[in-house]
Amino acid sequence: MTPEIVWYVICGMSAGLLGGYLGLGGGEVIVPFLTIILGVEVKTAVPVSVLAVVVNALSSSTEYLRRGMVDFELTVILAIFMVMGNITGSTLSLVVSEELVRMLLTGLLIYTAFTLLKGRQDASGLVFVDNRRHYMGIVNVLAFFIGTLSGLIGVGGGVMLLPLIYLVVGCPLATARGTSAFIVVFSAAAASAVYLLRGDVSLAIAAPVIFGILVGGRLGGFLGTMAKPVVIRVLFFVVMLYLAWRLAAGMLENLL
Amino acid sequence: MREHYFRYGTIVTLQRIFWLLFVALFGLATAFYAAGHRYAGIAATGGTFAILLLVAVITVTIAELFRMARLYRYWLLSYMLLTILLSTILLRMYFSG
Repeated sequence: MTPEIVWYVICGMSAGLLGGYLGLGGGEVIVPFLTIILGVEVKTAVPVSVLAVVVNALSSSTEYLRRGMVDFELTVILAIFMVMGNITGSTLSLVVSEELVRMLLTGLLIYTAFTLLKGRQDASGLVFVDNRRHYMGIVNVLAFFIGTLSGLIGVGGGVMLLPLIYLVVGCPLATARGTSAFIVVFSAAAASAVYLLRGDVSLAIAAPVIFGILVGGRLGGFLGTMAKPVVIRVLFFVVMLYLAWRLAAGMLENLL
Repeated sequence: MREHYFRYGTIVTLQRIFWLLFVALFGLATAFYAAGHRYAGIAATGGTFAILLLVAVITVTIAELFRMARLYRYWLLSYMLLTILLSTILLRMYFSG
């Protein structure tokens, strides 16, 4: 039992570091790590991942909050639409085909990865342009769809929220990272509560994963506040392409 | 944005206190699971419920910070978020039997 627990702690630490640094929930690391490397069943790994995502987002957002890198007004509005989207996504998962979801998400990830790598075209120098007055309606609709997609595929949604806040709303990248990490707390909390109350969470796996994520998330959040935007963009680009590849590979396997 | 009215310190302090609690509970649970101790499940369950409690407390804190900043629209929206979160849990529990 002990060697397995050490691996679970390492899994949590890896997710915490990456999630905290990039402003993601970390679910994209935990599920593949637990299932592919440690041989845990997907049905067991997903509830553990969802619960760990809440902790990771909480842990990494502390540093962002301390530095004033969270937009609370945006957090409240987008969290409402994300949670409502999550409910819709969970319901739709009963009728929508998995291939369609994977295809949509793969396209979205590839598009966003390249857009983010290119950077925002902002000619206003040091004064950033806040687009929320003009585009808030569109942003809310997109947050709802991100929530729906997150509910469908079982991730936190931070991977899609960050570009939305950065590219569409027009927040600085630092604020976008902090805000997206904070929103994921709320969107994943409802799902994890349901899993917990149903008794679907394997606490023997969740405890060491969360312990690892608490340590790794704090370190990742601290590194994230110090990193240069270009480093974040390149890292995010790589992570998104990896996710797109994973999704496309899974889709092709199912089709062939 | 009127974020400068916000006392970020309140939420940061809350998160830091709970972070220590999480580390203690999940650290204990991990050690207990490794040793095969019977209290492992109790420590892990306590930690898990503490996570959900913190999310609820943070939502209420944000709402009250908005009220103090006289941002009443966001104050209402914060409680709306809490209501949606709670109703989601209750509804899913109800429908899942």
